Amino acid sequence: MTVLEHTGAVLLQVLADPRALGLSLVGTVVGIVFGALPGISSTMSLAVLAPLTFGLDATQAMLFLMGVFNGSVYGGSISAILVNIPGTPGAIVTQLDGHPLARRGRAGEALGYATLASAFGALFGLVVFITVAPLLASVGLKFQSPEFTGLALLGLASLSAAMPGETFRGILAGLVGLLLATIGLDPLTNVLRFDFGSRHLAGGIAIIPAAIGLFGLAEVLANVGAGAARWEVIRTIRRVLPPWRELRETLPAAVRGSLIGIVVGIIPAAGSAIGVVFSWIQERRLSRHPERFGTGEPRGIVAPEACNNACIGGDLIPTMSLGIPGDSITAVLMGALLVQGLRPGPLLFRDHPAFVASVYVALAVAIVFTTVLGLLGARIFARALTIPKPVLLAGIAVLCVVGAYAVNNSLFDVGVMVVFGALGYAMARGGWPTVPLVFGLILGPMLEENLRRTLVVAGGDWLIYLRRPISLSLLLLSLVVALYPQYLERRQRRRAPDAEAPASEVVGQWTVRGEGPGG
Amino acid sequence: MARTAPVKLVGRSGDRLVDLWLADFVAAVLVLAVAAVGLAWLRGNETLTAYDFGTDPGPALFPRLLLQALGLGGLVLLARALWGLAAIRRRGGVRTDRAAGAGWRRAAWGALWPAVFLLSLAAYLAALPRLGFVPATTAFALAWILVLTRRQDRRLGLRAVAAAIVAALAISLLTAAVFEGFVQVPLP
Repeated sequence: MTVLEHTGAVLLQVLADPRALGLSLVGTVVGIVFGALPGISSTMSLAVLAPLTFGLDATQAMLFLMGVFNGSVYGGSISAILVNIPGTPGAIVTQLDGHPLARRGRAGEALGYATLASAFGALFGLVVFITVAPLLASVGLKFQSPEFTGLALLGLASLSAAMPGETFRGILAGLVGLLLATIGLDPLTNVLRFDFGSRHLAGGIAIIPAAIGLFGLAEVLANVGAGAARWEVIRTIRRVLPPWRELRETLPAAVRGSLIGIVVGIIPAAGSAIGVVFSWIQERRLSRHPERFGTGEPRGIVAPEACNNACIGGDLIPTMSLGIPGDSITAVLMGALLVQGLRPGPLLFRDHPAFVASVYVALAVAIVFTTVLGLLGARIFARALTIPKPVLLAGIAVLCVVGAYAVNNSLFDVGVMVVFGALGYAMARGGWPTVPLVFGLILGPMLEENLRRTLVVAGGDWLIYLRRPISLSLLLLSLVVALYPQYLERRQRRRAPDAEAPASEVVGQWTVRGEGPGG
Repeated sequence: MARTAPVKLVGRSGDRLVDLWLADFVAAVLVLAVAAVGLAWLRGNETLTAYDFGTDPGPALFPRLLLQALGLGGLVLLARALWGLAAIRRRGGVRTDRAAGAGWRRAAWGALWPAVFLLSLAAYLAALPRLGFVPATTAFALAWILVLTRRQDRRLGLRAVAAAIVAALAISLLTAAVFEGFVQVPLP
């Protein structure tokens, strides 16, 4: 059976199973609330909630996690509109027009635009995901170890390039991540490495506890350090559905936003925060009334919201079909799948087509729930924003501890989580990106294994990488991707030494916070 | 949620440079230390050096490459830090040592609460097996809700304390219920 044939079967199964639907619904609700709460990014939501799925089978886990994923990406717009603080990095520009519109007494409509644009973008992304991923996977099936080495390098290179002004530090952080991945048993020879005599280290460093520390605890620490600020929520929400005529006019913006989102998503490691900034600037440039942008222009909400949700499908393409995470959110998702014993990559499509189908179905169901909840429950989610910050921080800290523990029922993993939390906090304070650490942890085994296999087959001849056209082009592409931003930056600095691009500034704020320009 | 900027000295001094210099210098030392320890471990490990792995380049190759690259990166960072220091000196008007001292103090004060948080987390983890999950978690959550509410400049009246107790209980009971009942994890 092909993946598509499986999809129909899985869809029927899920629709007939109240428990499965319930998991997706709960995931979506929690995702929207977490996404809406300022300071809880989609990456963090997925990291702290992933442990809840360890007792479930792979399909059920996907239903829950895709609900969290899609819900939190959408939820980010709620606080952007009602509080003027983006709930997630993907919502950084939604507030520019969303909040002014809400202040004019049209908060409900602003949320409506965001909801419908998110639904549109997410569906767009899903369709492209379903069409492109199997094709890419079948190309990937022809890849051999030299190509996979190149692919892993490309993933790391594009990650460091996605961090504006942080390329060099990003590369170093990625190296540290790769190094951390070598701790423990070497899978090819069963030799222990860097265990320093510890039984626990011999087991290696698990990805999920590290991710919970870097994306969860580090953020809690940053907030504890900053002191918990309070925020002002706009509470008056009247009609949610915008007038049809105005809505229709925003359709081109939704299409453009979705296209940008998909492209940004497919590029490994480039997160939606880059895409939304780009799509907002693009809309303003194309508009006949650019002066309206920033004052409550619906297109200024629709384009970025379509973009960040379309990014989900885009991100899933390299993640599922090649095993290269599309951004920090999908990196955590990959970590959760590895716990389930599933390694994303071309083989997944050949060996587990039913599981791939369940990813499609899970995302589709999550999109439906998100849209319905967004349109009907706007007032309830606005209330969720009034949860006092101290309660939130204490609750998340507890969730980090229990989640890390749940991976292996081991307190050592909790220790790993705490160490990574402290490390992530310190790195963010020093202006270092932390996402490359997780990418290194995930891509490390793939990179090393394929590097060594290549050398075995080639009899230790490194030049084999240059003789195979695909591996050569992947390596060259990695080089270009890593070096081109440096070149651009230098040229920009030479031209206008004091001017700083607003886009990189907005994205930079999140980079500094240790999130990286992810979700 | 307040965004935390990196340690930044705002003032007449060459603030940004002082900042970069410090961050680069500390990072360089740490990165070089990791590279040195790692390479020493690889050299001192008999299993890695004594065995012949046949055509496989062996388990030491990849880490060694990484450590060498890290070492190189550490040197670049160090060079950048020293270049930054020279730039600060060139600008003049800034007592580097004083600016650096101020930078350290600021960083240390800013990190005070997170450090306290980490310590309390360690105490909480130690208390978990002894007190049991719900009591230890409730105490940990309650303490932090109270501290953070106080730092928000809210007065801690009887009502606020009562609300905090309810919230702390809700946090511990809810996580216990979800993880023990749903995920089936035996909590410590």
